[in-house]
Amino acid sequence: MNLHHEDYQHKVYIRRKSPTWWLRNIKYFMFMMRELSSAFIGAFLLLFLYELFLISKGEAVFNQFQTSLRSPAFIVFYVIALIFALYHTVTWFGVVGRIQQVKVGKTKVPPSLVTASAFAGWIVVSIAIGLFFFGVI
Amino acid sequence: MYKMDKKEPFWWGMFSVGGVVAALLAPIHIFISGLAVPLNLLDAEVLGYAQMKALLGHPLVKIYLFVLVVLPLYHAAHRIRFSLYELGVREFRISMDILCYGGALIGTGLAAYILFHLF
Amino acid sequence: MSSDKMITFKVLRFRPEEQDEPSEDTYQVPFEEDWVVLDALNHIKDQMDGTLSYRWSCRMGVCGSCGMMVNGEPKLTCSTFLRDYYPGEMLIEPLANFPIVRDLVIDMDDFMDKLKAVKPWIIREEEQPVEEGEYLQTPEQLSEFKQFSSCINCMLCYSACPVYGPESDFIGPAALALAHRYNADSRDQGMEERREIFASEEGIWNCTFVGECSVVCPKHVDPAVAIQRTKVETTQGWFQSLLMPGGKKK
Repeated sequence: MNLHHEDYQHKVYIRRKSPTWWLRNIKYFMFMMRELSSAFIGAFLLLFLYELFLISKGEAVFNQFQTSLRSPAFIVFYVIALIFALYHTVTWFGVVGRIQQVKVGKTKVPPSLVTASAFAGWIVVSIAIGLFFFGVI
Repeated sequence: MYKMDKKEPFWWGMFSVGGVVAALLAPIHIFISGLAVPLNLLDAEVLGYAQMKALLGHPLVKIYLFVLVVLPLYHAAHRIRFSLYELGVREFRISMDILCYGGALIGTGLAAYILFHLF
Repeated sequence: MSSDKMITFKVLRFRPEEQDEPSEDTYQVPFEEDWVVLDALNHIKDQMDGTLSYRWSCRMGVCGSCGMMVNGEPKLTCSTFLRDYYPGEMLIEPLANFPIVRDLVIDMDDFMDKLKAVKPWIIREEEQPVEEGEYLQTPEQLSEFKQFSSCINCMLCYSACPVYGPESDFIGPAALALAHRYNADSRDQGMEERREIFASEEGIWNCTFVGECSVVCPKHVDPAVAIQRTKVETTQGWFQSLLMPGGKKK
């Protein structure tokens, strides 16, 4: 099914796609940023896992690492990771209303309402987790 | 000529579930782990050794953390795999696929070992 | 002409009998408030350069013939107004991701092959006898697939899709949306047969939901959503058959 010049009985010109196609316009660029967000989330989670691992290594090792996490370099990383994570959340929940059709009885719930509910759910969950750390313990 | 792919639904399903977990939980956890203390919104002791060790004693906490850490790894693996395709990787597709999903599988193993064996 | 205003048209040219690579010609075209790009191209061909080759037909946005790249974006030239670009320059190129045959005409064989490949017709295990009358559908059943039947085969979505291209086997947005149109039609019983095609590596799994296909679609078909729904359904079916082997698939 591939298009090769040799398949054509008449001469055609095939425009090659450059690997930097995604720099051509803002929409393609933001798509790539959305894809990249998953890598930053993954990097954060592996860092987080490493922190948990260090707890098993004892208080001194753990505390030393925690101090290094307060350095400017790590703070920049966390800010960037947070921005990417928020972008993932926004783009993910932004489309669920279009994809997942929700019916209450026979009435179709408008996509914007489905999306709004998803965001509301995200805020509730985030607050709950936040309260767990800020309030409960 | 065209043949239904019997493995892709699994990876897409994992990508999908991982994406939901990441969308719901990543922002707040990044904020708490990395920014709440430097911004003086949280005492350092809350995330300190004693508290964390106590938390990691609870089976429910371990399961929650396992889900939090592992599922988005499959989300990232899938997205990275297809981003490589879109950046022009054509020659080493199978190796790249193995690297991506393999990474997620290794992360799964590490998380299981750390959360359920070391604590 | 109602005014002396002019607008610059840069047009990609390719004469296979003379050239190995495309070139660019520049034309000064009268600017009219109510002109679309197609009007300008017709003016160029009628008054300035009869050798310019391009496709068009209905000039009212229903036939899907006149798709071209206008300033880097896939558009129907009959529905793209000069006034939205004036006084800037217009760059007209053939639809992206397709081989160029001549000037603004692209080769659409691959697209036609992919449309046919998804079996875009009602597939029944058994036809209802004529005496039993028509297949009846409720408005709800119609609404499940109606939007996806609006496709005019203009190929703008294929041009917008970064996955599709001459080096890709991706079946593409319109064909996959069409497959979904039939899968979602209550009269159809062919999803399992179609699954071999749409659930292949070259089908839905190649899509990374960039979403540009739906953005450029002049008929609001939303192929991106059609493909994601197909992914969800196929994945659910896969997990279901894993956990409940022997279950009946549609």
